[in-house]
Amino acid sequence: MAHTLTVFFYELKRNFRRPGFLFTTFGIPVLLFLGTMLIGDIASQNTSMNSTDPEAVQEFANQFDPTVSPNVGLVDLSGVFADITIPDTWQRFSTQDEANTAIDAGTIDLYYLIAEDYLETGDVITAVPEFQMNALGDDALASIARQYFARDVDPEIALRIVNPAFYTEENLSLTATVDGMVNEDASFLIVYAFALTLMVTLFMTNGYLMQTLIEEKETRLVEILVSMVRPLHLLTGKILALGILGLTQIVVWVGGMILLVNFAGGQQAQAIGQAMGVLGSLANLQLPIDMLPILFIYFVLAYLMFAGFYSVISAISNSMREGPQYAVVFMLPALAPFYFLSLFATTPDAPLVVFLSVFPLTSPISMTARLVVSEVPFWQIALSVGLLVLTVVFAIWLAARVFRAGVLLAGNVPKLKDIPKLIRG
Amino acid sequence: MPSTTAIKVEHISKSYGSFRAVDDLTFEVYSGEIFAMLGPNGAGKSTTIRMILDILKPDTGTIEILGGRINDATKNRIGYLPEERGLYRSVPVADVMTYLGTLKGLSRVEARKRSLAYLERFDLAAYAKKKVSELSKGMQQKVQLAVTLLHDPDLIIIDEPFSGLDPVNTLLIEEVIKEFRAKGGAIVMSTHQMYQVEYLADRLVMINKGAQALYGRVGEVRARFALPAVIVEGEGDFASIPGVERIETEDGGHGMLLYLQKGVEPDHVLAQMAQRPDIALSRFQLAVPRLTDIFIEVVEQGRNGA
Repeated sequence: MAHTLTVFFYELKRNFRRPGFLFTTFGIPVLLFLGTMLIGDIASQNTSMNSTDPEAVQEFANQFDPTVSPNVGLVDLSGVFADITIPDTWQRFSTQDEANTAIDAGTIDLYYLIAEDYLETGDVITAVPEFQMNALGDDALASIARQYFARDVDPEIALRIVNPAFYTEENLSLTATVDGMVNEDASFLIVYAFALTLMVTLFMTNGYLMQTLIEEKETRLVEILVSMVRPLHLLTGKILALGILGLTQIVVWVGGMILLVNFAGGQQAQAIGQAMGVLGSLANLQLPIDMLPILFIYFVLAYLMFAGFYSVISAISNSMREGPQYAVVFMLPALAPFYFLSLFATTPDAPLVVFLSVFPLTSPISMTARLVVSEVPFWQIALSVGLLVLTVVFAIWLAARVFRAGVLLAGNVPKLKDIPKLIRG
Repeated sequence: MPSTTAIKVEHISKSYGSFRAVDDLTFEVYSGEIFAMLGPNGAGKSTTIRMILDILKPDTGTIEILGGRINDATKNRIGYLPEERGLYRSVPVADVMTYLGTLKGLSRVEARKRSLAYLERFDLAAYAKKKVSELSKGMQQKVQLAVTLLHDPDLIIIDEPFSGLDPVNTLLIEEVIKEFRAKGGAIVMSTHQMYQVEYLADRLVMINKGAQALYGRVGEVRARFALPAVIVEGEGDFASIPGVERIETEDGGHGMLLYLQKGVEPDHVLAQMAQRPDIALSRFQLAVPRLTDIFIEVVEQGRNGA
């Protein structure tokens, strides 16, 4: 126990100080925060046209006075745009031949050919002498067109025609005093968020665990360590320390996201929410408090189980190149429930779903998904947790056994037939 | 006679599949002695050391360490320096020493204090706060030996302790090892540097193909391989001495190798020379082979199945 604690505190301190950990844990959220604020700022500027603020309306109306595109020709066979003011750099041509001559002479870069039946079909040809990236956009002509169509319309109405609605989502259950239930969509979002968080934590934290174990193998320090400390104590200390660091990372990230959405109030928050997709919705969710204990239990057990298996992989790997390749053996089954998440919503009692929710490698995600969307018989929960606990014990025991012998395998990758021998020590 | 038994290995064997790495090996190591473990590469030395340290379990046989079966308390009384060794590269030197000291049962404060003291002694005090990766191979070697001794163990097992060291540092480490012996510590030293074994080690075991090939006091083992000859330097007709069978030039030396007739003792030859006024003797020595020669002979015998 003393050794486990010593290893735990040392690994906590050592890995916390790693520049990679500090950057990933704190640097990335800070960069995301700054980046998102920037996106929010840009997004809120863009959405300002939705406002009925007179300045915004004027800004919107100014778009009808185009001052874009150098040296553009306009061949308006429809006559629709005959009275519309065009930029100084534009030239009108009455025929396509004239426009072609101007292109050949180099006086214009491109021209728009407005079809005779433009009002019925909207057909416009953009003619360029050769491929031009800047000719692919239609903003310049769109401005001209808007100018034509909105010439007799009140700017406020024109604004609403272009942007008819500005949505603000409000979850009534968050403010309701009697209804504590969470709707299914929200629940599923929580399941998804939990599953993703679990997976990210498993990948990252166990990645760190693998890194430290393989580092000790590569430097051969591990032989000194196992001569002092039982492999089980060594691994337990490491697994706990890196688990705490992994959780810290997740807490910082999730906390940062919540802080970010709450920090930016009003319209900017909405803009950020829109810019970040699901994040805006997550901030508006009600957490199922009564499920948190079971989510936590599955979280911890899943971490311990995969930590054990990752340790086994580390023991038989000789470099950080090899380790992640072997880890796929465990990670693929763990990811399998993602493919069936829709099944969890539609038929949560299907045999496949029941199997996935009790099989240890898939149960952390599967059972929590089922628990959120439907009632699950108690025996299935008990069986699932029981099997998971047994697998955790087995994984860590196996890791300690293989680790003891694995340290001696520097430079050699064990064959399949060697595994039982490694376990026996 | 040495006081107590630090290691008692009795009839241990270890196989990897059909390969027998250690075969019925028996030896003892006493406190207050330097015990050399010799053998060609792949002879089973490392496997034996790992079994002593409980990293591997023997298939058969028993091992007692410091008076009993190895346990956590016993492990805290052992220092181990493996042949392939390393430290966390991106951690300050004193920090990694302190950590390994605490794993050996020292308090953090004590481990730190001793680490700094050893760094001072090994002329590495300026590197205490530097990362291990900034140290040269020889410096890391000294740090590793310091870690081995940090918790003041009763037994140290050191594998090739002098590799990568310059002559000055070799001398320093030799001093440290001798000091440890003088304080009553037991040292198991695995090395291929035979000349160091000759003047440092008290006893040795030589392992070949997993089995014991030689075992005993260094002088006795060498005497066992001694030729029926003496080496002399000086002036005079040595061939005329009664009991001398033939004379050869000493291999790699300045003397002459006098082979003696069967049953003739070197003392008798020396007495004869002393009585002869025509012989001026400046060196008289038993023709004991160097350990290197014995090592090669034993290995060759093993290869030839002798």
